[in-house]
Amino acid sequence: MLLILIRKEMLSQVLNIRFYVSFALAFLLLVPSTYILATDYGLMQKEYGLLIGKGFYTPGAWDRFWVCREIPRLRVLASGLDENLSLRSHNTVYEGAYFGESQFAHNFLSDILSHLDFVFFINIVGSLLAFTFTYDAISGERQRGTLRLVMANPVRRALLLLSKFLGSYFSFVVSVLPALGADVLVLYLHPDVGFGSSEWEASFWLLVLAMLNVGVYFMLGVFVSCITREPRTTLTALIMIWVFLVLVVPNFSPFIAAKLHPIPAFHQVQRQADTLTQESAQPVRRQQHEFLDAHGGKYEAMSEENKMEYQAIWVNHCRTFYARELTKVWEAFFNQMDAQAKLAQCFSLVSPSATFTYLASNLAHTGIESEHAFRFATIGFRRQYAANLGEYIQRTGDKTKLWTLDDTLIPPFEMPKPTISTVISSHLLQFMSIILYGFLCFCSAYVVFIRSLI
Amino acid sequence: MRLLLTLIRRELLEDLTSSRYILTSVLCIVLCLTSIILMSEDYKRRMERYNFLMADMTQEELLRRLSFAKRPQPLSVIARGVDEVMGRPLNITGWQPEEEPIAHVGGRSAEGQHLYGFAQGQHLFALFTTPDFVYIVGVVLSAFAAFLSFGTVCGEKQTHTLSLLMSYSIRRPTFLLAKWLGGYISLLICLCPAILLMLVSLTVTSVVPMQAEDWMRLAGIVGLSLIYLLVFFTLGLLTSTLTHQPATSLILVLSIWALWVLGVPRIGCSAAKGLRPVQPNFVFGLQKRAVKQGSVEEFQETLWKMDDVYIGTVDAQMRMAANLSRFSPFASYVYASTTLAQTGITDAQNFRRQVSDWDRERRGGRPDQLLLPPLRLEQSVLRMTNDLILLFSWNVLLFMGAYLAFLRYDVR
Repeated sequence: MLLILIRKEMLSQVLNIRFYVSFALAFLLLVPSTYILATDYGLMQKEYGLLIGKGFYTPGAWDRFWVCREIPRLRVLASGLDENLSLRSHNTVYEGAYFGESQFAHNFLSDILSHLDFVFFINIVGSLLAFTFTYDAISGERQRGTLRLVMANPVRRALLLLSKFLGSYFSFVVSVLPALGADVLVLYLHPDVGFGSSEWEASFWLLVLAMLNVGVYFMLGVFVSCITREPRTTLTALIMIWVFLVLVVPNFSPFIAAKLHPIPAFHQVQRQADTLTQESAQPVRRQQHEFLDAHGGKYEAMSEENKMEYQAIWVNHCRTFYARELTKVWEAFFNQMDAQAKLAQCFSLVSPSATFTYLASNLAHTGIESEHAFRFATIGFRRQYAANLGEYIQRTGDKTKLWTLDDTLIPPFEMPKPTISTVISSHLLQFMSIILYGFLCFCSAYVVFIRSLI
Repeated sequence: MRLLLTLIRRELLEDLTSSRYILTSVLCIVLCLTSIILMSEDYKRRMERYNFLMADMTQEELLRRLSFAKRPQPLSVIARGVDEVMGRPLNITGWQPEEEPIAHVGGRSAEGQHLYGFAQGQHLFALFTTPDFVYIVGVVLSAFAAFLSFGTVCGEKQTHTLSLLMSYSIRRPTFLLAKWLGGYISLLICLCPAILLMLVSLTVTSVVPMQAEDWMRLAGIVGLSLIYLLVFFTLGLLTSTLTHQPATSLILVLSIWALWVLGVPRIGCSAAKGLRPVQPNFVFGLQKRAVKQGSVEEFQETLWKMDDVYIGTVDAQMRMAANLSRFSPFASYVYASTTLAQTGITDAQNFRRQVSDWDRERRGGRPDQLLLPPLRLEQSVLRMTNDLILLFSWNVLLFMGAYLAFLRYDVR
């Protein structure tokens, strides 16, 4: 019986204009956007390739170096933070690390309009299509009088509800399937993308997540359709809900989190760091003066060896201080930012769309977690470098390495890349919230439907 | 005329008593108020950062290098645009010709003028669009405008009132005009409380220092918003004259909305990146690093020329992206309103040019106080005229389409 009902529902959907609109929208939006993002990725890869292969790169000077990460390949599907995602950090011996890609001369339009990617399509267009597929699922049948006819047969209400959901959901999947297939083809054939097995696996999970997210909206559509008597009212209610869940909650939640959990401004932290730097510099300067006094009192008159020893006091202090003490200030700041982001994510649990965006960007390593991981990895790298250097100087007494970059002392830069299972297990609550949302909608729809008059 | 007024009154009565309009009105109030409260907080935060930065500037720093930030624009609470990006601290260093006068991203010790984006905490906000008034009107209310008008003609046909009405001596243009005007006035009535409350909130909280010119600009943005909403209202009218069932009309209008508002501007921007690529800043920095240093003046001149060429390519990409995205009225609306709010692309370019010119003069031995006057009202208006004309054109085109379709419409 369920299969018959699903077939009937699918048939009516396939014959409706919305099926073709869904097909056209998916093709028009999804395929070109993926192609454009893939080309964009190729361009970035070409430019950054020089640096990425090395992980660590110095532009010639001993006192400054860059630490680079790989460009996440999945940004072609989930651009996440997009240009706000740090791909490299600029490090100087005398200061902390600098992240970000903000530039004085850049295309400002990217600050106003974000990319259209797979996540965006599913979130905005997919959810909207879900509502157009389901708004008249029950209320439409009721208005036309066909619901009475169907219920005159020995059909259980739960079964009818399930068939309405599954029928419309499968119709949607069928309508976007050609576009998804073309998308896969673009990813497979595009010379610049070159997905490996891990990327394909992540893409599969991204698709599963997207389908779960859209499924919730289908359930919600069926639920509201059960509550209301007329399709027009259903539509009004659904549009309101859509605006709230898709356009309001995700965009407002970071600002609400910022209000409820304010963090110090960057420059306040910078001031704190500067004060700490000045305080820590005083004993070192004193040490330098004492050294100078002990060796004649004039720098120019000192031997080359002593001059180096004199400078080494300062450089060694910088190397260790900035890598250890100063980074603690920044670590604390990053942790506060992390807490604020987590609060925003908590608010976003209200909306499956926001949850989906956070999850998808984490799966694609283009989200907030990836940014934080890179920052902490850089701090870890600097600490390890300072430790290696300290250990080397202690062992050999050779202080020339303070001024030169020695490959044997530079630790490998390791950016943690969590596996799919790690991402899923660490975000189980968010995964479950999407499933729970859908389940609750179905239960509510069932309760409303068994009490409603046919 | 009397008939037209009667029809408009009838339309108004019908609309304003419907749940759709009441719900829209409530939603507008909630959204606009929440937005203005949150954006005022955001403005306050940015102002604190600005004050902190400016207070932080010591005499020594002034001599050694210049560190400053652009003051946040008051109307960024309405249309944030690129104001936040422009408000990030800017360092200009230099006793000597700089290796990277414009382009290096990084630390203070790197020479040249640059913005540094270290740990600004912005990435939390980067995942989603800023929910300012322009976003609410541009995305949310445009969907509502289309939603409120999708059944204007075909809805009447479905309830069989269209044939009844047309049996009277009513000319089709008069009927369509009445529907258009009546529906749009209803939409305006829905919006009025939200906009008024927003203005009251702006005045009462006094977080944002508004001058007389800012109020005029704000009035301009509100006017622009109304013209923009009319585009989508007319789009709904057009689809309702092209279809015979409200459900079909709705699906059509929502699809066009999705393509127009969400698809075209973003695809346009992304396409421009591919069609007119610009090399990343750091690659450009490396190229400048490779320039052989001759005399100070020659070296400086060479680097400045390289800067000009680079900025030229960035601007060309931006122009192309803007023009491609202008196929969507949403893009025109965003560009025009951010220009009016002094937070738009032209303002960012203006700021960049001012800083660049000043720096060159300074290095040329003509030290002068750095003044960063924003674009004047008439300049802003001039720069948004094209987008305004485009919005008007969309309205005219769509209404003409609706008119032509309705002339041939089967009212039975």
